[in-house]
Amino acid sequence: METTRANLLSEATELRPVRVHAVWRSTGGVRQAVRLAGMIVVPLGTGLLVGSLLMWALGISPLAAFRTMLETVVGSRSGFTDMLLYATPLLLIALGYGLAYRARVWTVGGEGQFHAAAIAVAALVFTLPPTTPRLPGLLLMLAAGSAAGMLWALLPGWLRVSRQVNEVVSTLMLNFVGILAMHWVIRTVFRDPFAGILQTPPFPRVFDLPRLAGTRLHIGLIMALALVPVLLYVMHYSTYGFRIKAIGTNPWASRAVGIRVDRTIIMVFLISGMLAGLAGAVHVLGAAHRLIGDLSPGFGYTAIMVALLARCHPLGAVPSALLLAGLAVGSEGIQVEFGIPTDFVQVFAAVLVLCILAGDTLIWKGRSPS
Amino acid sequence: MMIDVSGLEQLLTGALFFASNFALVVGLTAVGAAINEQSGVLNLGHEGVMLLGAATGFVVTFWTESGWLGLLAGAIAGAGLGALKVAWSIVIKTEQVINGLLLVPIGIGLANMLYKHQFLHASSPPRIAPMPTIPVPFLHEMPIIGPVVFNRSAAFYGAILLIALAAHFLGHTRTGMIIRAAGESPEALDFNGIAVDRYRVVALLIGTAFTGLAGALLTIDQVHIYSARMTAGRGWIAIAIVIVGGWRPWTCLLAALLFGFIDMLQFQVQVQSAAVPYEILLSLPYLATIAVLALRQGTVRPPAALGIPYVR
Repeated sequence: METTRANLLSEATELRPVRVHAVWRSTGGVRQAVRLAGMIVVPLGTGLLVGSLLMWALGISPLAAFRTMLETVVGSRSGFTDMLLYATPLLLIALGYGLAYRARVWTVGGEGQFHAAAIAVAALVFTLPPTTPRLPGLLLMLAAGSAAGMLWALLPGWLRVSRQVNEVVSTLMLNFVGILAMHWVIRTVFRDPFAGILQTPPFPRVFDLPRLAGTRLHIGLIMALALVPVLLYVMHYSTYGFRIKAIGTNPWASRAVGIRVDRTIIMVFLISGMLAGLAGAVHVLGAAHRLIGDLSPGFGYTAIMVALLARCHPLGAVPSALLLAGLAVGSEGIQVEFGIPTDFVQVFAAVLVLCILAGDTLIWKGRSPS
Repeated sequence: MMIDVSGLEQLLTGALFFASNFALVVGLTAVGAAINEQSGVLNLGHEGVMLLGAATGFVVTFWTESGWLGLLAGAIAGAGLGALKVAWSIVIKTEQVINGLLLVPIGIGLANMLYKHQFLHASSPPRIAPMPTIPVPFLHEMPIIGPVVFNRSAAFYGAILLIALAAHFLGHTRTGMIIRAAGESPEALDFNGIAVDRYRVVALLIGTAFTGLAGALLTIDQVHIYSARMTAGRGWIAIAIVIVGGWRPWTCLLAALLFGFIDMLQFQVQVQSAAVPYEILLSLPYLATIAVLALRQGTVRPPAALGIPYVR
């Protein structure tokens, strides 16, 4: 039994090209260092080239555009804060996706789980008396948000395990439903009667998440960053992470060596749902302070690219989330300056991920499973 | 009494009209997705391909004032994204789930960029003229069915013909059978000296062209305007419909019709009464997709090599 497990582990690490430090350990040497650099530099360069072409096609100078982006994001305190606020939910959702994708569970349901959590949080905010002590109140809300996210992920997880329903389609459908459910709740229950647009009244100030000294940043950023090492441990140093990778590599062999595949897959759904729910809760309590029709600018979708850009690695998710958040915030600067719509950002990000994907596959050709 | 009957007839006609519009767009996309999947390539990017087809078709028709050129442009734009999918799925052989998923933001982003680039400074949303309707002699006078099916534009008839052609192509031509073999048993095909990947490329390009065409049909023949959220998950519902329809073109169209009825239902109830919240009605097609998948999965068998790149 033990040897079989060990074999499976070696298979899991050898066949999955995503584990950067395992690559380093397994070979060592300059050639590998060059390869690793190539895995990052070449895709980024290609992505940058495509992005420049897109800008050029839109009739603006790529250099000027990138300078405007940089100035928007790092040139001003408020732009930098916006980027970090944007990156917080991205990072949380992407951590969950990264875990799921390792198990080849292709959930894309972060958007729906995010909104489900927002509903749960708002329900608590408007029903708890304002005299509720702050800390237990906030903890309860964060827990409720995470639970709502898990609940939203439970159905696709259960359907995948019991009826082999494709989780990409089911989670995506639930994204639409989640957004509509939030609109319904706002319109019928919590609507701000004085607002012309679909939104709730602002939450009472007691229920603001604690802020980081003198900024608009909230404690959610710290929570997200603190979860990175936790996820790193779970994925790379725990038996649970080993099981996840084994399932992603070979579900049949995993079942044969006694891993409870179905149960692990449900757990993966629940964890990713919980993280997306937490993202929704901290965003609502820390940044939005109310429910509003377009609460999320597609965090759940951008986070897919964050996770893939990071090659599903928790450490990589931090710079990836910052990069895509910076692009999103920076593109608004471009929109102001040049009157160019922000849509090129998602094209750029997707092309970047495609380049990473291609680079990985080409480098690992012959060693990757197919 | 007479008024009541004609009122009901009007209601039914209107309802069926909406249902058939939805069914045709989603059905055409589902046929495209079915062609993709029959060849063994999983393509989850149809939502993006469809919106790019919609935007391209709209822009071309707006400037050329020709619906046919717009439809052609939509199909070509769709196949263009298909070519990207070819490069990543068949040439480089990366994970098909991911590279298909990435077509969605690329398609949506390019579509919105194209539209806004053309009409950024338009004061009101531009419209295009509907294509002229061609009533089929005698048949169009039938009650209810007549105006819904036999008094439509040439594009409507053409789309149905295209689905018929696809059914014939997949089922009864040599190329179609090879495509299906590429999805069922690529090794057997290879043993017989037939290049598996070449046929997969063909299937991908045809399938995505179908989807691009469906998007162009949506703007040019049905809505006459473009909006960033106009596809509203149709591309995803189509992927589910492929499974429900068991990868067969006519069954796919039938399943799409079922969803057309659900979509129409929500629209009609929404108009008729405020008792049911419209958000719940709007989410009906999405919930139905999940329900139908859960019921149907297991009763149909996907192509054996679906999603697995062919490596010798």
